[in-house]
Amino acid sequence: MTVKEYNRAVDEFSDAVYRFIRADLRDDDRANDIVQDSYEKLWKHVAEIDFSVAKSWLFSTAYHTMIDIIRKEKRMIFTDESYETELLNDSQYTDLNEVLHAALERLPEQHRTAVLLRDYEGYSYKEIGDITGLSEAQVKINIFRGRAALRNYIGKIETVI
Amino acid sequence: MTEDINNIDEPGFMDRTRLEPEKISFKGKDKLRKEIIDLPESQVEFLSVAYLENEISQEELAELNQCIELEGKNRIIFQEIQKTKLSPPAITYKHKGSLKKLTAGQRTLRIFTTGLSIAATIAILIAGYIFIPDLINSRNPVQVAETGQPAELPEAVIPQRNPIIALAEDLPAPKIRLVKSVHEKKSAPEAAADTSARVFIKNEEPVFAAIVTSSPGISFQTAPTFLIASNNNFTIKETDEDRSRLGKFIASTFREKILGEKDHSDEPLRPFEFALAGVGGLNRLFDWNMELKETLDDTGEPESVYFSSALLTFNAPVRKNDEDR
Repeated sequence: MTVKEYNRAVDEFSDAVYRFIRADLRDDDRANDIVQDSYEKLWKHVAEIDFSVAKSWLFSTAYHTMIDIIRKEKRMIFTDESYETELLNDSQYTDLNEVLHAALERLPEQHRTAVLLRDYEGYSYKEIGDITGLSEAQVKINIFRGRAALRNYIGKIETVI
Repeated sequence: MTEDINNIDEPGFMDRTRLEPEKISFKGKDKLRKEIIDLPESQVEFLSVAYLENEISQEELAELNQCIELEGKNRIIFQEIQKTKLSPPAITYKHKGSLKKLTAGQRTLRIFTTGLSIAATIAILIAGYIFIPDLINSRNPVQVAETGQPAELPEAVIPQRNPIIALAEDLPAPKIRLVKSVHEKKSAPEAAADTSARVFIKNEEPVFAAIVTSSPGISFQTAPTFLIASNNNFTIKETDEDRSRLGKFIASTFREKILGEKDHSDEPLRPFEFALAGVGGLNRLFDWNMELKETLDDTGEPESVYFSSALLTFNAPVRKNDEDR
C-alpha cells in the first residue's frame, strides 16, 4: 500500500471503524484510541497489506484490540432479566433506532459484534467470521440470537408504550 | 470357531456375516408428522431472520409465507424481526488529520511553511518588543517648547480632577484637550510675555496660556480666563488612579490565566509579557521548545532578553529611553 492509499484508507474507513467500536464500547475516548492504534498498526505494516484488504484488516485489528480491553477490564455483561427491567423503566427513547442501540449495548459481545458488522457495514457471514475469528456457522447463530434478543426487547417496549 | 477363523480367507465368508434388517415399520409416524402451523416460535424467528438477512432458500420462504398467513402471532414475530435492522448513526471520525501521513513533498512543504511561520512570528515579536515601548513613551510626555522656539506639542488629555495646568474656575468641560500648540508672536497688550502658546479646549473657545520663563516664584493669581503654563519640560505620566478597573482586570487576568503567575499584579502590561505569552502559546500549539527570558538589572529594570529556539538563539540588550540613561 502506498502513502496515498493509506491516506485514502483513513478517509474512507476511519468513520466506519470508529462507529463500529464506539457502538460496541459506548465510549468515545476509547473508541478514538482504538482507531488511532489500529491505524498505527496498519502504518507499521503498510508495505505488507494491500489496499483491497485494508478495511477488513482494520476492522479485525480494532475488534481484537477492543476484546483485549474488555477482557482486561473484565467488563460485566448484564443478564437479559436485569436488562429488561432497566430498559423498560427508561422512557427517554424517541425512536426505534435508539431503542435498538440501547438494547444492543446489553447483548453478549459476540452477538453485538456480529449484528453491528452485518447491519453497519453489510459484511457477509464469511467476512464477519474472518474479522472475529469465528466460523461462518457461528456467525450465523450469533446474528440469529442477537436479532431474536433485540426482537424480544422491541416487543416488550412496544407493549409498555 | 477355530474352523471358522481358519476359513476366513474363503470367498463369500464375510457376506455370510452381514445382518439383514427386520421388515418392521414404525406405526406412529402420523403422530410425529408436523404441519406448518406447528412451527415453534424459534423456527419462525429463524426463518424471519434468514429473510431479513437475505439468506433464505425458496423452500424456506414458502414455509415462512405459509406460517405467517396461517397464524397472526407469527406475523407479529416476523414484523418485529424486520425492525431489528440497525441504522448506523451519522457519526464521523474527527481526527482523520492526525492519522494521515505526509508524502516527501508534503513534508518538505510543511517544514518550509513551519520555518517561515516561526521566522515571521519571531520577527513580529522582536519588532513589537523594540518599537512598541518607544511609541508608548513618545505619546506620554507633553512638552512646552522653550520661548522663541516654535515646536508642536503632542496631543494629551489632562483629567480635571488632577490638573497639571491651573484653569479658570468656571470651565465647564470635564477634560481639557490640548490639541496643538502654536507659538505666535503677540502684541504687548495681549500678552505679558513675548510669545504665548495657544491652547484649544475641546468644544470651547480658545484660551491663552502665558509662558512663564522661569519656574521659581510662579504666581497663579492671573486672570480667570487664562492658563498659566511653564516652559519647563514636564511629563504627564499615567498614574495608577487613572487606569480603569477594566484595564486592571485585564492585566491581572492576563498574568494569572495566560502567564500563569501566582502573585499576579494589575500593573500595566509590558510588551515583554505579550511576547512571553506569544512564545508560550506557540509552544503549546505546536509542541515546540522555544524559550524567552528577561534579565533584570539591580534596579529591577530589564537589561537584556534571551531567546532560544531550534532555529535561532540570541541574547539582545534592551534599548532604554534617553531619560533612563
